[in-house]
Amino acid sequence: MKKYNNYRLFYVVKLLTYVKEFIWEMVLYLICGGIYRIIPIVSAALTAYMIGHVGSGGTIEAGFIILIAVIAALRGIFSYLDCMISHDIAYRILSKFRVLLFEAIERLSPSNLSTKRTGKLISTTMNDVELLEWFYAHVVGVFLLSIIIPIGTIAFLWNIHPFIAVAVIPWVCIVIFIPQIFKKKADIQGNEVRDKHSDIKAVSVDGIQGLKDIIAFNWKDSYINKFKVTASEYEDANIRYSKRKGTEVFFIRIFIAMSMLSVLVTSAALFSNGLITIEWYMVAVILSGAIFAPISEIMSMSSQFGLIFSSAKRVDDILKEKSYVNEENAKSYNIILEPVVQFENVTFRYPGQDKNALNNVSFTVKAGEKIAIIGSSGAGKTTCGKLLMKFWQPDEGRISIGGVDLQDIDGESVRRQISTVSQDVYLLRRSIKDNIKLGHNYSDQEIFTAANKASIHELISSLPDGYDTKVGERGTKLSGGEKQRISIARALLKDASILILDESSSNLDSINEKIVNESLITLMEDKTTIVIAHNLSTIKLCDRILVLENGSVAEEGTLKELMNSSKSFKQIINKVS
Amino acid sequence: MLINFKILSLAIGSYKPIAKKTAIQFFIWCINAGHYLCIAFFLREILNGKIKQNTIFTYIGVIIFLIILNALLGKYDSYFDAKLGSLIKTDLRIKLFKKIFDIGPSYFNSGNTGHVSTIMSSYVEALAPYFSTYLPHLISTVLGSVILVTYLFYVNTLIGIVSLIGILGVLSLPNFWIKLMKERGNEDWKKYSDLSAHLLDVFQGMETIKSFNASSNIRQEVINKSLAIHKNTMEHLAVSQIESGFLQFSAAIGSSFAVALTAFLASNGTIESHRIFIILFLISSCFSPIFSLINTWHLGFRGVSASNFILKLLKVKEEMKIFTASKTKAIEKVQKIKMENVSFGYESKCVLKDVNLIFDRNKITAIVGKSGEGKSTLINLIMGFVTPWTGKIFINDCPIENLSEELYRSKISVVWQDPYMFYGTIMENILIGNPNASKEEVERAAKNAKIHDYIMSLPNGYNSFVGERGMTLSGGQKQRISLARCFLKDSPIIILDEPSSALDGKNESYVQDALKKISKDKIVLIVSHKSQTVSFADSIVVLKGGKVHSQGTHSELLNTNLLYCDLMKNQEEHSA
Ligand SMILES: Nc1ncnc2c1ncn2[C@@H]1O[C@H](COP(=O)(O)OP(=O)(O)OP(=O)(O)O)[C@@H](O)[C@H]1O
Ligand SMILES: Nc1ncnc2c1ncn2[C@@H]1O[C@H](COP(=O)(O)OP(=O)(O)OP(=O)(O)O)[C@@H](O)[C@H]1O
Ligand SMILES: [Mg+2]
Ligand SMILES: [Mg+2]
Repeated sequence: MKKYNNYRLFYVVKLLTYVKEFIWEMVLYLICGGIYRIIPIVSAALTAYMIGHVGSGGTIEAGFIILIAVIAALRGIFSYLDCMISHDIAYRILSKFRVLLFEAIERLSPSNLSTKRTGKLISTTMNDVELLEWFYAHVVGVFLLSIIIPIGTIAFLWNIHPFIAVAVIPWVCIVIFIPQIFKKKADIQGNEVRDKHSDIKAVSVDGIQGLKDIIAFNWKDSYINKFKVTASEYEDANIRYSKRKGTEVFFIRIFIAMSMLSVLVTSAALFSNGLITIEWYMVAVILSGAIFAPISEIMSMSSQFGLIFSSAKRVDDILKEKSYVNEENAKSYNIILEPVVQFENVTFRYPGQDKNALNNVSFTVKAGEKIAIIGSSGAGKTTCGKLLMKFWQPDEGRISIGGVDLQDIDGESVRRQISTVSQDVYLLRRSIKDNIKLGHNYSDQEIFTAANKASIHELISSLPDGYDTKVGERGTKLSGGEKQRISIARALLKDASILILDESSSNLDSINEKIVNESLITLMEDKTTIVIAHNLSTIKLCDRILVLENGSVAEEGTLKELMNSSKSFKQIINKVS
Repeated sequence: MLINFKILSLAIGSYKPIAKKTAIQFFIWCINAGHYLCIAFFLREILNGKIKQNTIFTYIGVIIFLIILNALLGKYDSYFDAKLGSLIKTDLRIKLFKKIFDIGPSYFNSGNTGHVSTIMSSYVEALAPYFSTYLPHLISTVLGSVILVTYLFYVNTLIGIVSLIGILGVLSLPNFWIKLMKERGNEDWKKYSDLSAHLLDVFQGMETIKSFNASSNIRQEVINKSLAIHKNTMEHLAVSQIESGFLQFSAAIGSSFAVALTAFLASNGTIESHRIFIILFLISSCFSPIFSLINTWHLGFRGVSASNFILKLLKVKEEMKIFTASKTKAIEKVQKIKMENVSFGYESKCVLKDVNLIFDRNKITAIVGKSGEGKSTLINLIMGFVTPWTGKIFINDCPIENLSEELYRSKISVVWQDPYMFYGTIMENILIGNPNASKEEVERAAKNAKIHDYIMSLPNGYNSFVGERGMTLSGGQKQRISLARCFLKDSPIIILDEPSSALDGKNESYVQDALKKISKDKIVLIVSHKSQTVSFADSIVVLKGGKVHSQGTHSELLNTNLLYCDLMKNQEEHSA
C-alpha cells in the first residue's frame, strides 16, 4: 500500500510529461485563467468596500459604477479566453492520447487482445481519455491558481488585519486536507465506476454483433437482463461514488462556511474595538468567501479525482502493457528474405491453457515449394500460420525465414514477406476497393486483375456502385464466399514471396474454387506456399503434405504416399460419396 | 432555457424524482439566502453598535444551524443526483436495447454497431445531466430569482430593473444561440461517434490490418478523425463561449453592477442605507446559482444534442415486428415449411425470384448453388430477418407473420455461416439454445456436436472463457459449439448454413451421424458446398440465378443435372 500513497502524484507527473510541448500555451492559459478568476474577487471586494463606505455615511461617484460595468465586461472576455485556450490544449492532448492508444493496441494485437473486449478498449480510448480532458482543461490551471489566489488573498487580509488572516488559515488547511482522507476510497470507487462504464459499451457491442443469434434463439429477455445487470452495476458504483463525494461535500461546505463565520465574528470584534473601519470590515467578510471560490472549484473537481486518476491509470495500463511477442532484439529488415520457412522443434502453448497447441513441430518448406498442412479441427494448423506471421512466438524452438530467426526480425518486416488469406476473413467497414487495397497504392488495373483471378471481378462489376460498394460491417453485405474471394484477391495483390492460405476456399463452391485454384497454380509457381485445407481439390495442388495431430506432426509425404499408406489421412480428408 | 417536449419524453417515468430534485435544489437556495440574510442583519446590528452579547450568540447559532443544514442537504443532493441519473439512464438504456432487438440485424449490417453502441454508452450518459442537473437547477433558479427581483423592486425600481435585465439575459440568451449551435452540437457528436465506430472496426480487424502492413494508413485515419473532433470542438466552443461571455457579462451586470448602483443610490439618499447590506448579501447569494446555471447550461446543451440522436434511433424502422399475432396460435406439429412465389433482394438488387419450395418433416434437404446465389438469403427469409418483396412463407398452412414471434422462434434453431460466440464461458454459449437445460443435456449436445472431448481437455472445462467472438477457439471448434447450441434447442426445424465448412472429414462424419439421429421427425435444411454433406441429404435443391433450378436426390441429379455435376465435380474426381 506504500506505493498507493503516491498513486495520484505519480499520475499527475506522468500526465504532465505529456504537455511538455504545449508549455507556452500553458503559460498563456495560466495568465488568462488567473485574471478570469481574480476579476470576480476584485469586483466583489470593490463593491463591498463601497457598500461599507456608504453604510458608514460616505458618498461615491458615478464613475465607480462605470468601473464595475467595465469589470463585468472584462469578466466576459476572460471567461472566453480561459475556456478557449484550456480546451485547445486539452483536445490536442486528447488526440495525442488516442493515437498513442491506437498504437499500443496495434502493438498488442492479436496476442494480448484475445481475452480483452474491444468495447472496453474503445471505452478507454474514447471515454477515459475524455475524462483526462478535465485534468488538462480544468485541473492543472485551477490547481496552480487555487494556490496562488488564496495566498494572495490571505496576504491581503493580513494587511487589513493579521487577526483576520489568522482566522481563515486553519479552515483553508482543513478544507485542502479533506480529500486526502477520502483519497483511497475515491480511487477504488473511481476505478470501479470507470470499469463498469466500459462494460456497458462492451455488452452493447456484443449484443448488437450477436443480434442474429439472440433473436433466432429468442434469447432477448435474458440478454436484456444481462444488460440490465451491467447497467445497474455501473449505476450502483456511481451512486456509491456520489455518496462518498457527498460526505466530502458535507465537510467542505461546513468548513468553508465556518471560515466565513469566523471572519465575520473576528472582524466584528475588531470593528467594535475600532481596529478596522467599516469599509475593510465589509471587504474582509466578502473576501473570506471569495478565497474559497478557486479552492471550492478545485474541491468540486477533486471529487472527480477518483475518476480522473483511475482513467489515467486505465490509459497508462494499456500504453505500458508488454506485448506477448517480444520485439526487444528485433530489427527491421527491408530486404526480401529467401522464402525458405523452417520450424525447428517448435513448442507453443496459448496462455492460460494447460495443453500445448504445438508440440515439438519441425518442418521445412523450401523456396518455391508448396506444402499442405492438414489435420483435424483444433490440431494447430492456424496456430502454425500465426506463429509464422509473428502474431505469437514459440515457447521453445525456432522459426526462421530464409535462415533468419524470427526473434531477430520485427513483426512488421516478417509480415512484409508474407501474404495471407486467413480463416476468419475480416473486411473493414468501407468499400470493396479499399478492402482490396488496404491502404496501399495499387492501380485500378492491378485491382481488377487480382479480382479477376479471385473470380470476383464479374460480380463486383455487376453491382450498381461497382468497386465502390460499401461492404457493410465486417463485410456482412456480401455472401460468405464473396468475402472469401475478396480476401483472396487482396492476398494475390500483395507481392510477397510466401503465401499462407488458411481454409481459403471453405466457403466456395466447386465452380468458383476451380477458377481460383487455376489462378493459384500460376501464382504459386514462384512462391513458397503453405496451404491449410481439408478438401482434396486444394491439397492436390501441393508438393508435400504435413499431417498435424494434436499439435504434433504425425505424418509427412506426397499425396500419393499418404493416399496409399495412411488411414488417418483418409479420415481427415473430406469424404467423397 | 432549453425545454422541449420531445426531450422530456425520454425521461418519462422519472418526472417525480426530477420534481423532488428540483425541490431539494430550491430548498438549498432558500437556506443559502437565509444564511446570507443573517449575515446581513448581523452586520447591520454591529454597525449600529448597540448589539447585545446574547443577540450575537443567537445569530451565530442560527448561522451554524443553517450551515449544517446546507451541508447536509448538499450531501443528500450529491447522492440523489446520482440516484436520479441512474434511474433515467438505466431506463433509457434498456428501452434502447429493446429497440435494437426490434430493429433487427439488417440496420446494423450496414455498419451502425459502432454508432449505436456509442449511443448506448456515451450519449445516454450525456443526456442524464440535462434532467438531473440542468432542469432542476433552472427551475429553482427561476423561482429564486422571482423572489429576489420582487424584493428588489420593492426597495427600488431601478435596481430591480437592472437585476431583472441581468437575470433575463442569462435565461434568454441561450435561446438565440441555440439555433447557431444546434448544428455544431450535432456535428460534435457525429465526429465523436465516427471515431468510436472507426475504432471498433479497426480494433477488431487489427490482425488483418497488421497482416497487410496497413497500420500506418489506418493510424493516419485515426489521427485525422481525432483532429476533426478537436477542430469541431474548438469551432463549437468559439461560438458557444462568446455566448458564455455574454452570459457572464449579463450575470455580472445583474449582480455587481446592481450592487454598485445600490451603493450609489444610497449615497444619494435614494435608498435607506440600512437596506444596502441586505441587498449586497441577497444578491451575492442569489447570483451564485445563476453563475453556476451558466455552467450547467453547457451540460444541458450537450444532453440536448445527444437527445437528437437518441430520438432518431428510437424512430428507426422496426423490421423485426413482422410477427403481428398478439395471441399465440398454437402449432400442433410442424409438418412443412412452404415458400410461395417468394421474391426478395437487397436495395435494388433482386436475389431470389419467384421461389416455390416445400420442406417436409422427416427429411433432410440440402440447398446448393454457386457462391452468392442467395442461399443464406433464403435462410434469412425463413428466419424472418428480412421480409419478402412478394410471396409468402408458411409453416404448415399458416403464414409466419400470423404467428407470434415467441412461438415461431421456439420452433426453429439455426447455425449461421459465420457462427457467433458471445463473450463468456462455453457453457453460457451453448445454453443459449435452451437456458433451462441441465448439465447432462448440455453435455449430450456437445457430444453430438463432437466438441465435448475438447471442452473437457480445457483447464476449466465448460467454464472456460471463449474470448470476444470466440477468439480463443479454432474455426472448427466455433462451428461445433454453434452446432451444440443448435442441438440443445432440439426444435422441430433445424437450419444449418455451411455448418461444416471448417470441419475435417472425420469430425464431419461424426456430426453427420449425430444429425441423422436427431433429425428424425424434424425438418432439416442444410446449405453446403461439400459433396460429403450434400450427398447424405434426402433431397437437394439447386439454386441458379435466383430461381430453383432443379430438385432431386444426389444420384438423380448427378445423372441428369450438369450444373449439379459442376458444383460437385471437383470433389468427385478423386473418388475414382
Ligand atoms: N488465442 C487462443 N487462446 C487459447 N487457445 C487458443 C487460442 N487460439 C487457438 N487456441 C486453441 O489452440 C488449438 C489449436 O487451434 P488452431 O486454431 O491452430 O486449430 P486449427 O488446426 O486451425 O483448427 P480448425 O481446423 O478448426 O481451424 C485449439 O485447441 C484452440 O482452441
Ligand atoms: N445485406 C445485404 N445487402 C446487400 N446485398 C446483400 C446483402 N446480403 C447479401 N447480399 C448479396 O446478395 C447475394 C446473395 O447473398 P447470399 O449471402 O444469400 O449468398 P449465398 O448463396 O449464401 O452465398 P455463399 O455461398 O457465398 O455464402 C450476394 O450477391 C450478396 O452480395
Ligand atoms: Mg484453423
Ligand atoms: Mg451464404
